[in-house]
Amino acid sequence: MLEVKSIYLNRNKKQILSNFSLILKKKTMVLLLGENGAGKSSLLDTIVGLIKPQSGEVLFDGQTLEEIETQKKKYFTYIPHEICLRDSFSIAENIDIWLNLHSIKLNTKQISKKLEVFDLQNIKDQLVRNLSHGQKKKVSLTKLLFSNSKLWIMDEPINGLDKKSVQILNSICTQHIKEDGSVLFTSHIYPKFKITKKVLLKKFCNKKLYKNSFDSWGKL
Amino acid sequence: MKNFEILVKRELKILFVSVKHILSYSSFFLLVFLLFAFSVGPNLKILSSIYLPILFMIILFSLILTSENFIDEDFKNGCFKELQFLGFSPEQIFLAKSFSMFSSIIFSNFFLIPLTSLLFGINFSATITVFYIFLLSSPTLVLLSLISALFSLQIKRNKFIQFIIVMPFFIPIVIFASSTDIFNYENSNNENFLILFGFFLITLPISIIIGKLLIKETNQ
Repeated sequence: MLEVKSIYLNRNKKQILSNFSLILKKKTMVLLLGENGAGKSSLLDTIVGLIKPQSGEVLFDGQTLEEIETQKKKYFTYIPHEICLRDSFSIAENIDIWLNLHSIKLNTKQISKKLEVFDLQNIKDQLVRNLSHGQKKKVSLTKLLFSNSKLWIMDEPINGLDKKSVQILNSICTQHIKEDGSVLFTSHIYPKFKITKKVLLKKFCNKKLYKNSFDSWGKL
Repeated sequence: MKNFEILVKRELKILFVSVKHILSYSSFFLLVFLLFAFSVGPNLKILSSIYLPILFMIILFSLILTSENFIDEDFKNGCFKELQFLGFSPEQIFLAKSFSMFSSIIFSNFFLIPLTSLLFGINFSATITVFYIFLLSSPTLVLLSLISALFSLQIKRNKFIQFIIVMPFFIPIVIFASSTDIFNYENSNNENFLILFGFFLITLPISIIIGKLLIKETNQ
């Protein structure tokens, strides 16, 4: 499903990943565990193609990121640590925008049913700016329930969630795995999830590597 | 192409559901125009002779000030990142944002230009000419001001550098737009129209390339 091959990654003038490889098969849940600054988010950003590594490649079902460039949403659903919701819109409007971006058409009843999972149905018309951090996180995670992709990638999904919501997230991930899906997520604490494999990420080194910070201009 | 259509729909929905972009542009525009009118005095001859330079100077500054609104929120809440990992190319994102911004100023100026031309004693046929000039010059101004907003994300809100980099590119547009003889449009040589269109054709590909690089840099 996902194969990460010998990734070397430098960020902020430091090497944070060296020869990192990972294989994620069907029906597996992999946790990337590491302290703050260990490079968990950078690794996920590299996997989804936001950051280009110095070397190495990422394959989704045997295809490189360049090959699936415009079809990425079919291969994976990524929930980054940022909330990715517009403050001036309600929960329902934000979900609607997200569904349109994915070309998913659902009726109000179907949407309401999915919102009920994280208890968001009653507050679906509230503006996102009026929600607490935990509620925003739940809206963000609700996007998983609408996705059609088999691979879910989440960055620190349990941050800011209450105990009940963590259990709900665990159960929807378990259900997803039962349906031939797989989950890759990061955390700095060890959650009580049915994890197949745990990968420990450590701070690699603090040695400064290079001075160039405006990489893309070189590609002109 | 379908991806671009989806993105444009998203941008237009954001623009017209939350009208804050249109309101902030219009209020700044009107405020400065009224201040000019009051400071120059009631002499319509003087007011009508300086109408076009004032109009373009205000359009320029309104665009620079409001362009950040089109980028900033998406950048802070992670939507910028989300659009990229969903498979929308940086070029598509830049063009969709430009289209949305262009729509917002067209919508606002459809009311603002006739209103202000009345205030400055501009006759109907001259107002139509002003519209032509506005339609030909505003796409270039929009592209440049979006580049300016993307630069401000890159260079950590250092407005001084932003102005030094982008401001010189605005000057030719303002010169050719404001030097057109709007009262003698039928008889005068209308090469300014061609020059303004030419500027747009030059600016479009260059700004797409720079916009793409700047959007990619936001992930670093």
